[in-house]
Amino acid sequence: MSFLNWFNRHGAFFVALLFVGVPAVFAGDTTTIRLTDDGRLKRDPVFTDASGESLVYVVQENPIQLRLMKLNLKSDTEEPIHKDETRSEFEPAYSADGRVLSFVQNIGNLRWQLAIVDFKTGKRAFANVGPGGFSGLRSPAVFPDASRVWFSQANGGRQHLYSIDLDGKNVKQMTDFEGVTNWPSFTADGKRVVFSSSREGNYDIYVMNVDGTGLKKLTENPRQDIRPCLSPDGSQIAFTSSRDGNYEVYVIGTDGNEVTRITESSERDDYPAWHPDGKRLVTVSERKGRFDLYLLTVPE
Amino acid sequence: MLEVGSFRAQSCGGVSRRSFLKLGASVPMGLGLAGLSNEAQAAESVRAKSVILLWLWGAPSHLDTFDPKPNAPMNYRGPFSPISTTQAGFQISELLPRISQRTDKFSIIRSMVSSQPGHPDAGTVGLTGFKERPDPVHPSFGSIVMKHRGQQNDLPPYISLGQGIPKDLVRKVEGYGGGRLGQSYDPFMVRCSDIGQVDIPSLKLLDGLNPNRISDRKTLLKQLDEIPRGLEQAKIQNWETMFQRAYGLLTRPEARNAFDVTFETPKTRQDYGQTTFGQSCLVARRLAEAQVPFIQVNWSEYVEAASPNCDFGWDTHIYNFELLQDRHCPIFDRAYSALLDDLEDRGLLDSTLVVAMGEFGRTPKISDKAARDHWPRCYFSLWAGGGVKPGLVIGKSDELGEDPITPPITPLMAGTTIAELAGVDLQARLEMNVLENGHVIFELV
Repeated sequence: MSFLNWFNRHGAFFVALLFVGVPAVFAGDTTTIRLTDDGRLKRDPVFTDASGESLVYVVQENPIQLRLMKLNLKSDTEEPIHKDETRSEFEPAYSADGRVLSFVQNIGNLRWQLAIVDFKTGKRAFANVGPGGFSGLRSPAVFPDASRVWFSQANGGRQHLYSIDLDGKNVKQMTDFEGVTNWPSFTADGKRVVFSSSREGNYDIYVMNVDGTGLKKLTENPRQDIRPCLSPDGSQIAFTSSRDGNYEVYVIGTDGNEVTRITESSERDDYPAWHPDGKRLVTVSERKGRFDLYLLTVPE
Repeated sequence: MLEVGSFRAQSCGGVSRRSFLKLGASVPMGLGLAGLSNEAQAAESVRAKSVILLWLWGAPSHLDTFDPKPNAPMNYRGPFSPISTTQAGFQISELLPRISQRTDKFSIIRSMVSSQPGHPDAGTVGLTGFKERPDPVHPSFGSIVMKHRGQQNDLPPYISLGQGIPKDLVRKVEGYGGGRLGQSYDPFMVRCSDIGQVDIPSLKLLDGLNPNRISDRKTLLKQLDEIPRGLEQAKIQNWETMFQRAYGLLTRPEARNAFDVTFETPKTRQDYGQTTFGQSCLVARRLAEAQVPFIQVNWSEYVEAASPNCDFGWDTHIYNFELLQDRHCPIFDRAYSALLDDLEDRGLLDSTLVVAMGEFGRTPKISDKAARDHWPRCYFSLWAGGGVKPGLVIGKSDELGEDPITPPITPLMAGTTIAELAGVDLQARLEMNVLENGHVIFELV
């Protein structure tokens, strides 16, 4: 056995020891289940449909690739959803019925495009801003009736929300604010959308009708309030905030009242996504320097 | 020792593989490039027995990290807010909460200025103090310290942790290594994974060789005959240098143990975070503990997987704000804090200089892509341990972060200060003909 092989095997053994006994620390009476245990960098978990049986998340598989992984909670198995893909793919988003998947795909030098997959028709579409580097579309969210995809894109020194047909055409600008506007999430009836925007300086959470009317600011905090995610019944918004020092997960009513802190740790808790039952959240939480998925019960 | 000197002379001109083996087998402890005498002579004046350079390749945004401008117009300030630190009146970005609690352990310079706006050129300026042209390129700071301090023990005196030589799509940074001092003063390249597995590319040349049977000369001779093919694959041209260092590591367990983070407690490994940069910082601390004079940790492609096949690092031309909050800053916040704590806890911080800097800053005015581009006119660097005064904020930028309003501090000054603290004093610099006209940053020392 070469030195390298010896060293790598030796190292792997000790790394395996680190997996043992990693307790999860969360706030209050929250019940938690750890869903993964490899500790690698992760992001963007999302349930694939209303059954709650499986979710997709993103893992830093190697130094130069982010990969979409599907975790089946019923069989406790996982596999890449694009096994042979060599490009980075991240920020998956599903329609509520699981019919449409959209995600961001790297296609070159700091160049990211939006991929849209309609499982019903079998069609795939891609949207990007043309040739050249330094461009990209981010944060897709599939409209509840699976007719369009909203996303965030920079333009003119600001970052707006746009929408696009499933065939990657007919782009419409949906917001026109100062600063960065990102992370759209819809009510189930498709009437309202929540998002974060730095339109007044720092990131706060807003809600508005999908036609752009009725804008209302839901959080008012000098720190970041980001990645809002509406519960299936549209009554609550889970989000990440650094308001108490580091990234933690909170829940707020869609009326802007009753902020509840869900996680409490000196380490990072981020990327909240609702379970279809509306009672639990999946998060990416860093514990002892390792990133894994956790399923948390939201207190009544 | 005479044979060592003879080997050194031959090495530059090209020693044969078999003559090298003969030398290596007969003088197993004498494989170093430089003698030990320099170290003995200079030990008294060396404040930084080791230097750890955290090379933030790609150039971090100064406004979004260590020089926030919350009162600047919307098209400058960005979405992040400043937070207080342990030092009264000193604020940094909210993306760095752990570091904010450790500002008494390091000093910051907010008036760094580079002369070059592109990565490879500015990378050379940032690592050598001089432009790439005219040829030959000047030696990197690590190579200067390496030449002066020489080999301390069985370990290479200048080790670079990362994914190879920093590069962008166009080309590598020419000033990454020995430059006009020669390839013998290039860094010894090591890679480290997110779980702390160390990969030494030059040892791959010896793949299949059992360390326990290194005395089997027949096997080794056969292996050496295979080296040219391996070299071609590895694109390593100065095989004598790489091989002798790799051979030294291979034959001495105590030397290779310095790279093995499994000797650390789980808590220590966890403190640095399960990221490539975090575990690389832990390896760097182990190497400092083993008295390696210069260790460079390259922030590398592993933090920006969105752009494959290119070592962009902090080069956030698009989605600067998302990348910083999602990846770069949390990783750096944890690893840098752990490194300072760990060095301090072990009593090593006073004798280990930790410098963190990139090749320039990023545009204070938010770009058309709602991100930030290259900005050589103003950026930051962090200095801890090794004889520098902690807790200082040195230099000041204007209200937009566009230019220093205090005397600018250049990479040449940074390199001169590093060298001075590492024992390469003015006389030594003159004798080596390096860092010409460089001045020590007097506020720091």
